[in-house]
Order: sequence, then C-alpha cells, then structure tokens
Amino acid sequence: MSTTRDTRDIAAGLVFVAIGVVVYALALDYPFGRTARLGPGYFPQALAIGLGGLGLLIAVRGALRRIDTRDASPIPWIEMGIVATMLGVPAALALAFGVSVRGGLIVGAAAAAGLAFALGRREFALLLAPLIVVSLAFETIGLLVGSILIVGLSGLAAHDARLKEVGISAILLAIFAVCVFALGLGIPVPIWPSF
Amino acid sequence: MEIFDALALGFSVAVTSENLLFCLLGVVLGTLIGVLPGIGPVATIAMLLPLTYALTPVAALIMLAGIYYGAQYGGSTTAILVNLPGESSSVVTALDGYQLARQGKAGQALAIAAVGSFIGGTVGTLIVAGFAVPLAEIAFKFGPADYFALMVLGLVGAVVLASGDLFKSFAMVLLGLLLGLVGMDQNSSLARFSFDVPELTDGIGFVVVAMAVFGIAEIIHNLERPEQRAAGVAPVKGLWLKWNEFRAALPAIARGTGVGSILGVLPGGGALIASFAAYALEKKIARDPSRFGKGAIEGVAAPESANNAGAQTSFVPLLVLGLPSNAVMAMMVGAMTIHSIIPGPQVISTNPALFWGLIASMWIGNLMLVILNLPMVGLWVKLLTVPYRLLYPAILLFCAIGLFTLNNNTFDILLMVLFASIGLMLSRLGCELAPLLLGLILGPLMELNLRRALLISGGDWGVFAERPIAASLLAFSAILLLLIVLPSFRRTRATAFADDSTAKG
Repeated sequence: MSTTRDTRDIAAGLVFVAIGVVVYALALDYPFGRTARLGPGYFPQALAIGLGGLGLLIAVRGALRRIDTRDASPIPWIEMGIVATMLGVPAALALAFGVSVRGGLIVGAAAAAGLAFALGRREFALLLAPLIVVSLAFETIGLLVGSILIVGLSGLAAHDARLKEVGISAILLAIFAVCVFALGLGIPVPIWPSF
Repeated sequence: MEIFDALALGFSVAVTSENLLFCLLGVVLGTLIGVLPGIGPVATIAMLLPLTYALTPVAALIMLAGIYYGAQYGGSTTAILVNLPGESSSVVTALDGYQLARQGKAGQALAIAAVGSFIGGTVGTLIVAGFAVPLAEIAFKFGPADYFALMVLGLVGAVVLASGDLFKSFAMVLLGLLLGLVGMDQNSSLARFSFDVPELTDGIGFVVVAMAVFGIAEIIHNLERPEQRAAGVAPVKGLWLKWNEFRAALPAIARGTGVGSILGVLPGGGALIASFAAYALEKKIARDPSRFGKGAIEGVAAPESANNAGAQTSFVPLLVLGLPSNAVMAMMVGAMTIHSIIPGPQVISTNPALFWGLIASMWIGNLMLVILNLPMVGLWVKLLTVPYRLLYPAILLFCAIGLFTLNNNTFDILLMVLFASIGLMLSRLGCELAPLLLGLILGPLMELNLRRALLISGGDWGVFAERPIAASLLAFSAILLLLIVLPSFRRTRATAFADDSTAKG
C-alpha cells in the first residue's frame, strides 16, 4: 500500500485561510465596539479569525497525515481558477480602475466561463454562460428568448445530447415558462425582446 | 383534552379542498423528485418558493412539507428497484432492498418500505403534535443568551451528526455565518461586505445559495461525472404482504421509528442521519448480521421507517424554536418569511390554524403517499426512463426564473452563478455544503442574540455560565465536541457513514 500526503486538504485549508485573511482585512474597517455594545466589526472579525485558524489546522493536518494513494483526490485546480477569476477580476478592476463591483462581477463571471470552456470544462461553461447573459440583459432579451437561451445552451452540455431534442425542449419549456411566469404570475419582464 | 380540540382544528383546516389539493400536489412532487436521482428536496423547494406567493400561507407550507416527506417515500422505490438511491436518505435501503428485488421479492420490499414509512410518519407526526406545545412553553423562557447557546448547539450538532470531515464542516459553518452577515447591520445601519452594490445591502438570500449549491453545482457535477444508470428495473409482483412477513418486520419498523424520531428532533438531524443510524442498529442487534447486504427485510424496514419519522420530527425545532436543524428546514423558514410569519414558539398561539393544519396535513399526506406509492409504483418506475439530459435544463430554467421572481432582480442570477462555482469548488475540495447553508441562515440571528445577551449583562460573558439553560446547552455542545475526539465514537461514526459514498444534501 503506497501512501501520500493529503494535498487536497492542504489546498482546502489554504482556501479557508485566504478567505479568513481577506474577510478580516475588510472587517477591520468596521468599528469593533465594546463587549457590552458589540460593534459591526466584532462578529465578522471573530469569525474570520476562527475560519483562518481552522483553515491552518486543516492544511497542517493534510501536510502531516499520510493517506492511501487510492483514497487521495486531486486538487481541483480548474474549479479554484474559475472562482479566483470570478472574484479576482472584479477586485482588480475596482482597485486599479475604480470599476463598480457590480460591473466587475459580470466581467469576472464571463471571463471565468471563457476560462472553463478553454480548459475543456464544457459543461461548466455551457450552464453558466446563458445565466450570465440573462442576468445582464433579461429585460432586453425578454422571457421567451432568455428561456430558449438557457435551455438551448445548457442542453448541449450533456454527453449524450441530441441537437433536435434540445431544440424542441427549448421551445416547449420556453412556452411553458411564459405561460406560468408571465401570464400566470405576471413577473415584470417582457415576453418578447425589445431593443 | 386540549390537544384533541387542537387536532380537530388542524383537521378542519387540512381537509378543505384547497389544502387537500396542495397536500396532494406536494406529496406527488415529493415522490417524483424522490424517485428521480439527481434532484433533491432542497433544490425543489427553492424552485417552488416563488410560486407559493400566490397561495395562502397554510397551503404553501403544507405543499412544501409534503415535498420533503414525500421524497422519503419515492427514494425507496428507486433504491429497491434499480439499486440507485433516488434520495440520499435511501442510500442504505438500496443495500438490502435491491437484493430482495433480485430474489423476486421486490413487491414485499416495496410494501414493507411503504408500511414502515407510514408507521414512522404517523408516529413522527404524533410526536410533533404532542411535544410542540410543552416544548414551546419552555421556549418562551429562552433569553438571548439561551438562544445563542441553542444555535451553537445546533451548529455543533449539525457538524457532528452529518457525514463528512469535521474540521472542514466547521469551516463551512463559519463561512456560512460570514455570508449571513453580508448586508445592512441592524444596529449600526452600516452596510457590511456589500462593496457599494445596492442588491448586496439586503444581504445574500439563502435561496440564491441553496439553488446554486444544491441545484446548479449538483447538475454540473452530475454532467461531469455521469453515473452509469442501472441496467434494468427489477420486475414487481405481489405487493401484498403475508402476515408473518409483516410480523417479522414489525420490530425493525418500531426500532427504526424510535431511532428516527429521536434523531429528527436533534439539531443537525433529519431523514438522512436517521436512516443510517437505524440500519447500523439493526445490523448490530441482529442474531446473524451476515444476512445484511444479502436481502434482509429489516434492512429495508428500519431505515425507511426511520427516515420518514426523522423527516416529520425535524419539524419540531423549527415549529417550536424557529430554528432550522437541516437544509430543508432552512428552506421552510424562507417559506414562512415570504408569508411574513416569524417562525418561533409564538406561532402556535398566534396562528393555531396554520400550526395544527400543517401537522394534520402531515398525517393525511402520509396516507396519500401509501396509496400513491403502492398501487401506482409502476407509473413511478416508468419515470426512471426519462433521461437526465431532458431534466436538468428544465431545473436550470426554473431556478433562474424562480430566483428572479423572488426579488425581481437579475443580480441574484449572477450571484447564483458565483455561488454555484464556489460550491462546486468547495465540494471538490471535500467539503460538505449543507453546513454552509445552515450557517448562512443562523449568522444574523446568532449575532443579534449575542449582542442582546451581552448588552443585558453589561458586557459580562459570565451570563452564558450563569443562565442554567444557556450553560447546559453549551455544556452539551462541549460534550458533543469531546465525543468526536474520543476514538471509539469516531470509529462508530466512520462505520455509520462507510456506505455513504454517494450521499448528498
């Protein structure tokens, strides 16, 4: 039986440490308060320290523990890269150019979907891309086109997808969505696209 | 007797044609998603929340509750007939259930599962009815310090009783608590972690996160690692039980119901843990444990009774204290808030029709489920032939539009994309996602009660040791934590979850 270090746990621990450090730094801006009157900074700072500490513990344990090679799981580098892109791009844009975080998040998400596609994670990209488009332009493209987009693109992600089947289900589900959400519940989104 | 008047009121509410209809709708939907692998009650309830706007609060809660316990019935059908757990709480049922089906006893296994579920569900409902009022009276004595301690216990319990790595689960709880703090601080009106995004000042909705991690991340996971569907569906014949078969299974049903009822009430408990514990117990006390895994009827009867009893009794902490003990109950909190009902002990007195109506509907729903699941089992099995590639785009669509409907903003959809990616990353890092959701719900509540407790005590932490309720709850949490450190308990826990390789929230 060959053993290995639990590298995935090291990665998991370091992710928690990173989150803890960033959150702690952000929470330093909020008043700490006194014990009798806890300020808005107290609870988040305490939680961030706890999270960072636990992360450190998880990482150290992963580094010390020997586990069976067959039980070891790979480090999800691509998933970590996708999340880093989604959060890093808006952070960088905001710090460097003063771009609003809201706008930066859209750019970051689009970049992450592109990254996923480029790295061969078709499923990831095809599911998230239409959602990003809809979140950006739901009012413009309307419910019908938005629904067709979501079902049509995501439907192609299955390994056994059939083009004709995806097309038919996209149209049927879009009609169903229009009936339930627009005609039934009356959500404030136009049915048809308006440019 | 007061309780009979109360139950009479409950039944009078539950049997109105509208409420019966939504109860039926809930249990049918529950059975449906229970039968289908790849979609669970949390994502389903999240998708349906916006639709409940149009309903009365009672009808909405009746329907959503039906989805949860209905899923426990449906899950066993798939487990027994195709050796795939339709629901994670039916993972252990597949072990012996499928063996029985291969021996030509699929009918008996299904019948035992349904009867066991019904008995478990009935007893569980009675426990909710009987214990809610006395427990609520205790709950009224709770001060902020006690509530804080209770939430600590709930989170510790959720981590200890659930499967998965303890340290990582705790980290997920803390991450969830932090996410819960995003938005306007109630005391200082300071917008925390909102980065000047107006939508974030309202906080991160738990429906967003629930849909993201239990809906979308789950779909991506399923697509990237396609499970091989089982080769064939075992034929079903003879759904009637012989008296001696029933009598052989009855003790196991009783034990399963007991285990499930207790574990359901505990924080962090619910259907999933109940079924594992019940199976482990049966195996332990059996005269010949080697029969298990080869078609022992107790291996079907006990976990199926337990998961249903647990599904019912996990409503106790929600209805009595307003605290969700698992992810499904967290969704129920959301459903109540949508209808401006603040969950807590006051619901029983301020809204008795809702409270007792829900309880009565649970029993009616269980009755409907027996009828739905036994004679109509063939219909449900046919559903398994619907390929996943047709299902997931629909789930995705309803998540996206449903989410928009909740707050009429598209930013939530972007947040869902973000949290789906984060959820997938964390689950690939070996972290459980359910504790994150619990933390998210409890975050603001914990901070609020901590602040109040310390304000009242003038900044003295001793308040947590002086108040008997708080002190004993914290002591109990500490004992739970100590138990994990003890090697023998750790081993038992490891064995209980040994077969739990596919379980998900």
